[in-house]
Amino acid sequence: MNTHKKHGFWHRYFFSLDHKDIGFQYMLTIFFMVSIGGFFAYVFRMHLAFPDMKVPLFGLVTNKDYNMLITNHGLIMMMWLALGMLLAVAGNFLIPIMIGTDDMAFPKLNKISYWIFLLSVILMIASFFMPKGGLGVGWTLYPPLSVGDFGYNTPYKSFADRFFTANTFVLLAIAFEFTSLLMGGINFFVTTLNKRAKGMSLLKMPMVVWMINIANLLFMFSVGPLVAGTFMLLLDINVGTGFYDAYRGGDPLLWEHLFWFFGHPEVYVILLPPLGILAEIISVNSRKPLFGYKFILTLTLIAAVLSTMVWAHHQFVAGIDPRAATVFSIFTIIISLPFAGIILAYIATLWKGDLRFTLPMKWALGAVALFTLLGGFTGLHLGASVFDIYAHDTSFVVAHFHYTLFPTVIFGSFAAIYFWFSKFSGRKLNQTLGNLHFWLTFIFFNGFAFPLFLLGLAGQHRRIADYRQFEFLMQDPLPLYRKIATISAVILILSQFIFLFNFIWSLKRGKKETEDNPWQANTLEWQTSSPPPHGNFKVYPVVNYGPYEYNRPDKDKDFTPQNEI
Amino acid sequence: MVNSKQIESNRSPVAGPVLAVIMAIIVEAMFFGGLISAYVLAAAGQVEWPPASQPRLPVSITFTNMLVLLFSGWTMWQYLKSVKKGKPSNYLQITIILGFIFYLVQGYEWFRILLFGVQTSHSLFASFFYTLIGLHGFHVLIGLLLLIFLWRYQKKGGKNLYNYSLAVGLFWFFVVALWPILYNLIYLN
Repeated sequence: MNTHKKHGFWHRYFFSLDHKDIGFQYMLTIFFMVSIGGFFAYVFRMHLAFPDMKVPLFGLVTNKDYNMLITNHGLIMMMWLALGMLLAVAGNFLIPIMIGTDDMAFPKLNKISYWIFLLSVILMIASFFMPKGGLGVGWTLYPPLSVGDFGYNTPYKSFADRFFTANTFVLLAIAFEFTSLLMGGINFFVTTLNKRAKGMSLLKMPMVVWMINIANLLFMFSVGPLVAGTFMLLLDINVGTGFYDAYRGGDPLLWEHLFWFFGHPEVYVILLPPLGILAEIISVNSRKPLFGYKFILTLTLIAAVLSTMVWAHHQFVAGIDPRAATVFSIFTIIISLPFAGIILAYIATLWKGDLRFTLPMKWALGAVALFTLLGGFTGLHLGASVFDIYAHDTSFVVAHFHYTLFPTVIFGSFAAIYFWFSKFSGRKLNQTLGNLHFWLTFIFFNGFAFPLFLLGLAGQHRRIADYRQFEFLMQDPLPLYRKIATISAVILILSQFIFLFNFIWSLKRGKKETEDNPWQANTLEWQTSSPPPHGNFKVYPVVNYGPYEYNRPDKDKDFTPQNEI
Repeated sequence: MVNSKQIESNRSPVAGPVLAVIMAIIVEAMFFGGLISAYVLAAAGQVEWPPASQPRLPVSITFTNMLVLLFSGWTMWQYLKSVKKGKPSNYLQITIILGFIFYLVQGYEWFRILLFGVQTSHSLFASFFYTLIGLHGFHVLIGLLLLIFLWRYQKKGGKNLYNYSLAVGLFWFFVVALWPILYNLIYLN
């Protein structure tokens, strides 16, 4: 039944309908985008610590370059890495195989969503090469800056002048990327609801499948207004409408509301899939059932609902009614409760477990520790409008969101890659290089992000290219902190090459994975061969057990595969 | 490749295409929700809305046209009922014709207003008018293409006709139901 044919390069990387191949296409495309985003980060960090230096591989950074670099770094990392990696890649690799089916509900739609994703990447890259240079208005694209000098004031500009600008191309790229993710999301949702293996009730699904789907639903609920806002911004630039033009009765603040109505749920869209990945890894490596499956699920749903009511905490300094600010402050602080509950459930899973400190477990624990201690905790401070008004747009905020996003997006993705690599490639990653990669990343991430808290509290604004004009920011030890942050960031970026080498080398030459279930895990993907055949299973599984039934007293081994009879 | 229909699986009572369209409609509803709330907020901030200098919009023709669109929703419903009984009726073609009438009349009005000199860059009202009406028109066009696709599928004797017609029908109902809201907000305000 499963004829596993060898296909050529074009077939595998462009025309394949198999969810694993499409996941791999997404992953390679995203690796490419991340290397650009990482390179940008390297250039502007070097410039901040050593102004006037000719940055190797780039040259002198002008103020305009600096704006362009931070804008595109933010856009690429938020939109293409975080959303792409955690919705598209994780969803494609994991959902069909973990629910025990052959492929997505609509394989062709899945292929088309990758093509649209690729188109969005091409548009984004093309935006760097527009006649007026890349976009430099900040990744949040606030008008009137992002409308530029295109609107009402310059009716003499031709359509081509307006269209071939970075502004238009970036907005189009974002619109296409969201279309792609929406098509993918609809596909994941239908697959999950309609193609589960026999016996797999909703409450026997692995947590990561739940989390990706809840994240997707949240994405679909919140993305509409942003697409509407993007569309209006495109019209403002290209057709000369005045939605964000205060002169004609429009309102620039409208964009901020439409953007953050999506933008804040988005951080939970990004957070939930890694939380699911952590649930899998922590449970397998503690040899214990996940603590409070339904409890975690309920809290996640509560958090998803709350997350749509917090967006205006991004506008505390934008001229919002103080009474509204209080309401949004309260919701923002309340939303940390469900996440505290989820993290506590993970810690309770670890409690008295038979812990195995494997590589994915190290990444998972690193993510939990950093996300909770520094990311989540500083979020509480920023959620209170009184403190936020002081810290707004300083490096404190930069440090806060790097401490929330880096542990979840990067650590979570690496945990997943180190956990599932051998399943999907049939070969093992080198453990020594993996350990080196983990420790370097863990140490130098902290070395990079922690000094930013101190710099932010000292008043360092985040969108300034050259701090030498501010005497109080040049007092000791602030330049030293900046240098520590920069050197750590450079080492952090360099240590990712260890991973890249390990990944490519192991894919071709790594030790063959001989076992189907090396981690002795329960979920269905481990009950088929590594790599899984086209169609995933030789015999389609029938599910009898929940996903986390480790150490059942009535079994002699400490795990019980979901499809065991 | 394995035919997915051979695999025994745990299904929800709603078929795949219908579920996909329901999800798409949620996204679309939020999309229009964003636009409409932007419109309402912008209107609330003005002393005079629509601005006095604006040519009046053709209220009565559009009202008649709205009745045509609503009627097409009813014919689509009749078609769905006939498909459920297993005997697809000609109401599908009637729906397509009614949809086209709505589309052509609305498009004609659109260009007539443009010729009156209402341009997007003139005022916020005109910006919203063209954006909202244009986007609704775009959705009507997609709905018409889907209906024509459904007609072809029916002629080929496709086996999954009920699910596909329900999926297309739901999208058409969304497009139909959206128009009275837009009419009320923009033409009557």
